[in-house]
Amino acid sequence: MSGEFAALSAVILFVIVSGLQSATPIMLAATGGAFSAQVNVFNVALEALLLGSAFTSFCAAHVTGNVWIGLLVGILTGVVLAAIFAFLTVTLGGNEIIIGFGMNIAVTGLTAVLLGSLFNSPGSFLSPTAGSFPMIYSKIGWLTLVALLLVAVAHWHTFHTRAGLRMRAIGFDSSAALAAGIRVDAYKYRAVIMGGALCGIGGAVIPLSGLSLFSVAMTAGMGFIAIAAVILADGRPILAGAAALFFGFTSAIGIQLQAFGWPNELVLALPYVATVLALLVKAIIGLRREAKRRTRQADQGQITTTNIEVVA
Amino acid sequence: MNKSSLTVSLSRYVLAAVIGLLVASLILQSQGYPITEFLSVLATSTVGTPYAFLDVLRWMTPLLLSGLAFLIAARVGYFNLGVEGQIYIGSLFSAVITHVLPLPPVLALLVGILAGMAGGLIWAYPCAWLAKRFGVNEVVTTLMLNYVAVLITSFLVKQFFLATTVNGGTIQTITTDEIEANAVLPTFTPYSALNAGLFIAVAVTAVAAFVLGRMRTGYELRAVGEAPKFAKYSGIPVARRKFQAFLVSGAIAGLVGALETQGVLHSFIAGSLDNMGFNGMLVSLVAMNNPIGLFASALFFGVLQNSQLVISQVTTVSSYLITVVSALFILAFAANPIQFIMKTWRARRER
Repeated sequence: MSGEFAALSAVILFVIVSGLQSATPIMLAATGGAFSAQVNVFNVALEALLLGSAFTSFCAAHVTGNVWIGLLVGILTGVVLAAIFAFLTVTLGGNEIIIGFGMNIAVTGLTAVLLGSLFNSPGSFLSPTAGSFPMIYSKIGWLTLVALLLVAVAHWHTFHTRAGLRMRAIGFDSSAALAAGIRVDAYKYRAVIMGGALCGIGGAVIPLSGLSLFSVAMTAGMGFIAIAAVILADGRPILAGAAALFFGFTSAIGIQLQAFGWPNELVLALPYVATVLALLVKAIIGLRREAKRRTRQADQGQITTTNIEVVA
Repeated sequence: MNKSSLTVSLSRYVLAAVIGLLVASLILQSQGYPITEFLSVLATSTVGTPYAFLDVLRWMTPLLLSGLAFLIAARVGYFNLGVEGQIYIGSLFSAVITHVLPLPPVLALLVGILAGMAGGLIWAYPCAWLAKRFGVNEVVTTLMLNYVAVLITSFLVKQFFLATTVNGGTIQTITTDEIEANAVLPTFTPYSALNAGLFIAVAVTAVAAFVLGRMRTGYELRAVGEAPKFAKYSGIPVARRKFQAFLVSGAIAGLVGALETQGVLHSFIAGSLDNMGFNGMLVSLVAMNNPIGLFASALFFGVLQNSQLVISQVTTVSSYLITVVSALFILAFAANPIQFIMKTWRARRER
């Protein structure tokens, strides 16, 4: 009896530890992306921000042998890339999805080219000098705690500060916000760049946790999963963090299932499938709420011609 | 179009091309090559060898159709970023059916192509249905299914369809058995992979251009995409048209996979279809989602694609450089700095 209990608790422990580890970059990116969502900027470039920061922090850590300098450089990269995204979409008015996706492709290509040119090791490179972030317990690093903390800070910022209120106002009705005197574009930049800084931390975590390794397209869709988490949470930081944690756990559960004989590829596909299912659940809940709201409004006699939406 | 707006549109392309060219040349120069190296790579990949241009056309086939797939979905307002995965599934379907079923010449070809289109359509179906029934954002679902497609095709091939080598050993790459000879699209010369698939691609695109431009369905799709409320009040079944367009987009993506399998690869080879979907998206965006423009755009990207091989042969720089060029081209194109500059200039003048 105790043997089975020990085995089960080992599994649960593994899922928690591994889940937290894989969820950390997604959590950070999702929290960052939440800021963009609050001001109605569909930041599709999260993947690019993560990958770019991962590469530069890896390089910096490799050259200096200090992971913290790597972290700093990663944050800087995230900020710069986010500023570029903001400039191309907010100021120049480019379509967010096209610009975001273009940046994803550009960063993937650029990091691959630089990986080959700087390290002469196309594909992936294991650094002997970069080191990795200190761990608290097994594979949970201090940065995971930082990530959880930042989710709380982001929540506080969104709902308990004036800046957060203004950002939410912009997201709700940007023309009204503009009329009220809020500098909409400035706040949009601010939101995207804050998100970029968080993605910078997330990016630094990826190559420097355990293995000092960088490989081409290392982020493997983490940025897109973070975008899904942001959509799920409607821009609310705590929900976004929770969704990211959920996706991290599905990866860990998948790895455990491999031990039970599930085939490799299907297990790797788990987080992606989980993302789609989560979006489905959210959509259903949303539709139900909308239907309830309608019946309530109809009961109270509040249906007018202006609020009947032509649902195509 | 009057002369000034034509120059404005052209200058948009020129600026984007210049930016891409400049960055690529600078990167190559930083690696020790002359500043004109990139231009010479482009020249080599177009006219360097007698068969270079044939190879450009070979790449034009998947790029044209992939761009068309993206374009059809974009017409109704959907971003079908799942073309990548749909191509994979279509390729696998085609490879398996044409290997398993022995059929007479033309029929084998057709069955393979239809199987590929079915595969792409099936893969697009969940995303289309989720978007229609529940309003789930198709950008994320299609992206997720891309990853799942790559994984699931690997799994299926390893489990059921893995190729057997002549002496019974195991094959190293994830490949299926060779398809039936009757299903193979004939090539023009043994020196290039260019095959009859090009005719199919051009024909399909031309038909699509005609339907989208001149027929009622095309008009309805455009109305649904640009003014859904107007379309609904006109009696067009908006949700159904969007759904159908999404499925057609998936089917055409599957066609890309089938043509690659039957024309070039002669089996399903994991990793050989990489980035065809995304490049197709770039093709469509550069063509401003105009089906006639797809031809020129696909030709342009065909040149870029061919130069990917040349870069890795002639220089020590990674072939991903071309990816960077394409992406920068799109960014410069989509951000449209010239329009911004002109707008602010005019606004300033009016003050």
